[in-house]
Amino acid sequence: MGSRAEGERAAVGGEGGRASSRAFLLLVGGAGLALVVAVVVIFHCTPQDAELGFVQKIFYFHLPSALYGYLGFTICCVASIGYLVRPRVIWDVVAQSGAFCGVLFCGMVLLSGPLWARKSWEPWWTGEPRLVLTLVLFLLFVSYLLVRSFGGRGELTRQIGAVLAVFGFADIPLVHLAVKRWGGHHPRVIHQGGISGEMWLALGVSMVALGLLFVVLFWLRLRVGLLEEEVEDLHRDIADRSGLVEDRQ
Amino acid sequence: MGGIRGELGATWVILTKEIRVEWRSREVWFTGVFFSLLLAVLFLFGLATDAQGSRGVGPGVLWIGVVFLASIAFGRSFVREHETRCLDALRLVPSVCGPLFWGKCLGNGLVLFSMELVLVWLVAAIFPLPGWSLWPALLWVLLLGTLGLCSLGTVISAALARFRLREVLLPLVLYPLIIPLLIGGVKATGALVEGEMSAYWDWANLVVAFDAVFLVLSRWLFGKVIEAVE
Repeated sequence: MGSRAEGERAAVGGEGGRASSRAFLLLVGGAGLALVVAVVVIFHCTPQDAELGFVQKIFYFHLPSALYGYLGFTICCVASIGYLVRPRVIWDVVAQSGAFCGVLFCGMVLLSGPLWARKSWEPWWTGEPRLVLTLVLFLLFVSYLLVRSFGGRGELTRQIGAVLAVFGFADIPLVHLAVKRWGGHHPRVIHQGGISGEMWLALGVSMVALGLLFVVLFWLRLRVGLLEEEVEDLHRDIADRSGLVEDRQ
Repeated sequence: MGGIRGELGATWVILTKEIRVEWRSREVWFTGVFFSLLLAVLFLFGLATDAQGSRGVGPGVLWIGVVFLASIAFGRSFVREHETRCLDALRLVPSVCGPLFWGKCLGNGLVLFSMELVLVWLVAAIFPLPGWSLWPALLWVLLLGTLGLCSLGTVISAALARFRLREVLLPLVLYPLIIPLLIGGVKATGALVEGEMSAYWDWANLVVAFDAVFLVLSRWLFGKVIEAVE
């Protein structure tokens, strides 16, 4: 067994593993509780928006999801650069986990956005820069995950995945520049000064709840990734040893 | 191989090799041109219901055609190298990465642009595109778009050449990345159709900026890709 696999196993098993499992369970409980509190605060403690009505409550999930989606993609890009500079499996697993969480939260934005848009400004979709940018981001990182899922395992896929993630992230300002010249409209809720104290509170609670959910999902994906690497190492180990036995015979 | 002269010489060798291979087999060019014809016919039945209905769709049809042609061209680019084990031989040459990138990029660009010349003529026959006097401007923006596409396409096709699902993955990876180029190209061509030259230059300059970013980024990441496929 190589030292890398042992190090990774220490992260997911043994004494440290048990402590981290306990911390993980606490985190899951905290995230669940925070989500319940967020729902109660959003639906019972905030006033109904005068202009947008009940549908404005989507905002409390929409904005935090967008921010955490961007966070996931940023983690993916930073870890990919880390992998390109110093190829360590952990960088790759972190990058994949970041992309996975980013796509999930970005998907939530792309689901909640059109619902809100339909009620607020009739069309489900417009060519507004932020909308197009979010959609392109989603597409870029879904294609990254597809390459990772169907490209097999090993050094080649890891390095190519890191290259694609950096490419995708560097593409974002260009897409932004291109779509900004198109023009469009997006509700500027905060800049209108239309947010009351209760609304800020609900937004804060929602940010914390979705943040905890992000951490839970990220941690879970990271653990799965590390276990997958460990299984892969064991497979390789068995293949090597059976090769040795055959050689002796 | 030493210095700039050596790099340029190696790039020239790889570029001429690319052109020679394509000239002898013509597998990409003929399939691409026939594909352009099919595409024009499909768009004719799909979009050009009447003169009013087809207004304004010309630039979009042209650039979608370019993107499809690009995936045909790049799909073969590095797969051919692996099939013939040419890449293994090329790797024996010291510091081959730069010349390989530029040679491949320019080779792909020339093949793609020559196919685009047929495509643009076919699209202009069916949909409203700028008049003859504006064709130099139209070809200029096509050339700019092709350069950006080729820089990205060269890296992506090299990256995916050893993947089992490369034919499926290439468009999935390439299309989201080229969206800024596509927007710039379509808008510049649209401005030409409307006769708005200042808007055309705005968009064309934006495409130049995108090309510069893509070329620098692709050149850097190409080294990482070649390291990985070794």
